[in-house]
Amino acid sequence: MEQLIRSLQDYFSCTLTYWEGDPPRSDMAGGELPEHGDILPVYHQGNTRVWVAACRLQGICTLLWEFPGIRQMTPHELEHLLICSRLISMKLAEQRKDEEIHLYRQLVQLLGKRSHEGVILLDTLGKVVYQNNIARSRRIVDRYHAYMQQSEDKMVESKREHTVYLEGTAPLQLDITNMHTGDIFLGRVIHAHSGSGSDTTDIVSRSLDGDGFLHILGKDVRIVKTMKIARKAAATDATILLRGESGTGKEQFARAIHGISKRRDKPFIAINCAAIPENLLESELFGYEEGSFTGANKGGKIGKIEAADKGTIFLDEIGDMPLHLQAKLLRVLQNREFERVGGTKSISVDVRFISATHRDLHERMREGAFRPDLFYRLNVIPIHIPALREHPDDIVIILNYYLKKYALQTGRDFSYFSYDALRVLLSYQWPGNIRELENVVQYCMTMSGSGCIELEDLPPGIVPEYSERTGPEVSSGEQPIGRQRLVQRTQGKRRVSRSDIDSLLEIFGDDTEGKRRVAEHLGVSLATLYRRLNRRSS
Amino acid sequence: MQQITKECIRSLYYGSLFTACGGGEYSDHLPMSVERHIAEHGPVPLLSLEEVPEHSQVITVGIMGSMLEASLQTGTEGVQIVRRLCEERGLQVDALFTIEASSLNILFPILVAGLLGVPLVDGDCMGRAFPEFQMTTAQAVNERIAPMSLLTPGGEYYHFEDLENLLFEVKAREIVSHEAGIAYFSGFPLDTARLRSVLLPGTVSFVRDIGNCFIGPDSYTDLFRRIIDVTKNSIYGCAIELFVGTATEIGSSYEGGRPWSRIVLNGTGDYRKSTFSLLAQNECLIAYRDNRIAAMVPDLITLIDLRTLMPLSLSALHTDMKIAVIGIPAPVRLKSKAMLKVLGPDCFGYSEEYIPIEQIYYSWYFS
Repeated sequence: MEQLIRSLQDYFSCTLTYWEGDPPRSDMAGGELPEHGDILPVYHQGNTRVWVAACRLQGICTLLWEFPGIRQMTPHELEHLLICSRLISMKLAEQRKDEEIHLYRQLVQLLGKRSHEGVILLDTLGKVVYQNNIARSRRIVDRYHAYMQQSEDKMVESKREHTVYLEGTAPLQLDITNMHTGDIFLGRVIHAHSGSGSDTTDIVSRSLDGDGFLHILGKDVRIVKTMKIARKAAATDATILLRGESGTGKEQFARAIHGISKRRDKPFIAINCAAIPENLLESELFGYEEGSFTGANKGGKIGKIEAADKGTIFLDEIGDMPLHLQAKLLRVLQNREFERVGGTKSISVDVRFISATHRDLHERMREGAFRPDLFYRLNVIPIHIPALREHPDDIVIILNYYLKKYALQTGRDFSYFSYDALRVLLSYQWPGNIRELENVVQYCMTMSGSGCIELEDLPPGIVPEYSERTGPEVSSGEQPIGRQRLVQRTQGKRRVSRSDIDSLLEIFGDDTEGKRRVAEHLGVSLATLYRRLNRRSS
Repeated sequence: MQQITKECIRSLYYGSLFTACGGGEYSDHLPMSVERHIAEHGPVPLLSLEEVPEHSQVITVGIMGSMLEASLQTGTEGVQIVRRLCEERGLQVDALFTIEASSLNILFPILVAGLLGVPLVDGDCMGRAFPEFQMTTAQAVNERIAPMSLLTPGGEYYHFEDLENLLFEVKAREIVSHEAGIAYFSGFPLDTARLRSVLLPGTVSFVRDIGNCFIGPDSYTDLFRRIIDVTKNSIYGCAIELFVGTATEIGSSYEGGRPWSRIVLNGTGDYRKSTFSLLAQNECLIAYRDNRIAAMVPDLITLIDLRTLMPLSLSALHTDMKIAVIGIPAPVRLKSKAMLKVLGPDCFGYSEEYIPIEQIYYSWYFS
């Protein structure tokens, strides 16, 4: 554009200015420039009349030539100027349009990246203009084209919006929107949902597909034992009570059990008893009849238990269930029947119950907050899911899993933990278990500027509050190391550096008791520690 | 601390063939030599990176060149080159490490470690088989593997004190091609801190565990389940069956200045309507199913002979063999931007951008 303007200025020996919106000077045709361009006289330089070519095309931009001095222009020159004026207006309009398109494109990419479902934009010929990572990884375009080739529904192309269901091992729902400007077909947006969240690729190890235990990581004997028990329990129809701290993956276990049980082709319905207000929980669980309370839907509503008929219901945080509902739930467990809220008719269901809680139910029973008879009904097969700190050898495996998962989900480059960062993560207690670990991985990937996640990229709460510089690998650097690491590193070592002793004194204290603990920690006598301290000070 | 016992050797051998990704060579001689040595002198300690004492000096040892020739070695050549290197440079060796956790370059360092009476470190610089010295984690963190020494079977000793990794690769290949097809190498001295920053952890024990799957499986399904159990609980990631079929074509061509092998399989069972192609340069690098990318280097593409239920080397592959192709994600570090510049598809002359196996089979990995 700039080059074009320069060429025109040279050709006409004139000054060229252009702007968008209203003219900056009021004497320019009264601020009203013609829509398709014209040759206009304007007055300036002491009432000297100057001819200008100006136009406002599509309301976007206006331009003007100002000629120094007075010169009579030939009609041919004026005509030529007007054409050039229009040309520049059009170019500017195109430029603005391009910028707008670029802005929209970035918006689409941003939304696509953040979407948890496949998003595809096709042009008029069906070629991919854009697809997000999920669509790419699930090869949704290929499946869509295969469907279109076989489809007898030729109306699909002419409908404005329609939905296509792709069958197979990985069922997909495609919401397709045809885009037009007037009658001209511009392209097509496909929004792909995998309703079950299950596989969308046809190349999988089929015999193992659907085995949710494949995605439960861990080789520690505790977690392996838990999985063995859960697999055995899955083969029965017995009620299961999953116990474990928050974030240990109780729902993942419940889904895995359902996924390999004989009920796997029937619904799996999960409900968090602590997340739903007490006054709504009953109707959520048992459903309600029309008119049973103010605001009730016309025709009533089926509850989660009824929705799970022939399948499995997962009652998360069962320890938080209000007492009055516990009695009603107990009846379902005993008789497999219940009434909807406001209803009188008994409804029979065939449901497998899996419950979970992080609470100590014995304590809740002692407090009178949980019914013992319900507890014994729920606790037919108790399964304890160990906290992450109870199987620390699995931390690296799980970290690696989430490093890969979030790299693919966010479209970032893959990252890995440095040795030092990993040591800190391994010694951390993980009170929030795997859920916390997931968050830490996301945090680190966001903070890390390179592929290697270093100590300083870890969240503040993870790196111990104590900071020390010591040891061969960090002596020349500025990286802090954690208190725990120092304590571990120096434990039982007879030869430790002076700075290590200083650091330990800071941790344990500089008084006699502190020194006694440092000596104990180093595996030396108090007298030896004093000797070393004296040697150091002399 | 773990120990490499006599019972581990068979597992390590099978596992090393598996992580060779179609490269590597069968050998009964070397596993038996290692077994014999351990039976006579006791197990070789296997140190995790954390267990390597601070201020240790650790070096690598291995064989380059024809693995067929290499399979006949006794380990004494390795001892010779380690001792000479240490004498000339005044090094003290506290432990050895493998540069490549696959093929005979696991068993050979174990044998040398046993003969020298030092432990082996549980980690390596590749996490699988790669054909060139610069295709290591060292390259990605700008570590030079020199000082490095080479010893030929004829007794010629070469030392490279300071050389860029690619140049070392070129010079070493020159020497190997002029000698008997193999050479022993040793060097890349690392202190504990550098060792921990360079090595991929736990790769030797991973190779042992994956090899253990091949001992006495009931069936291919049993074998595959075992492989899944090991891989999903490792720094690699869950294995996936890429294809099962019969080899129908085995060809080779020279493209982009590189020798490519191309293997075509016709599907059987669930895969009967599909064809599968493998592109290899020593190791399987790229896999297609029905002309769509199915896996790419650095992810591991490895073969199982369905008749013997053993890892299959491309050198033993012939038409009409029934094989399963298994994909295993590479450790996340090998997928980092810096590593892909060193061992991604374009480092082998393949122009397409790397697509992670977890992206191709997203729902298998992350549903």
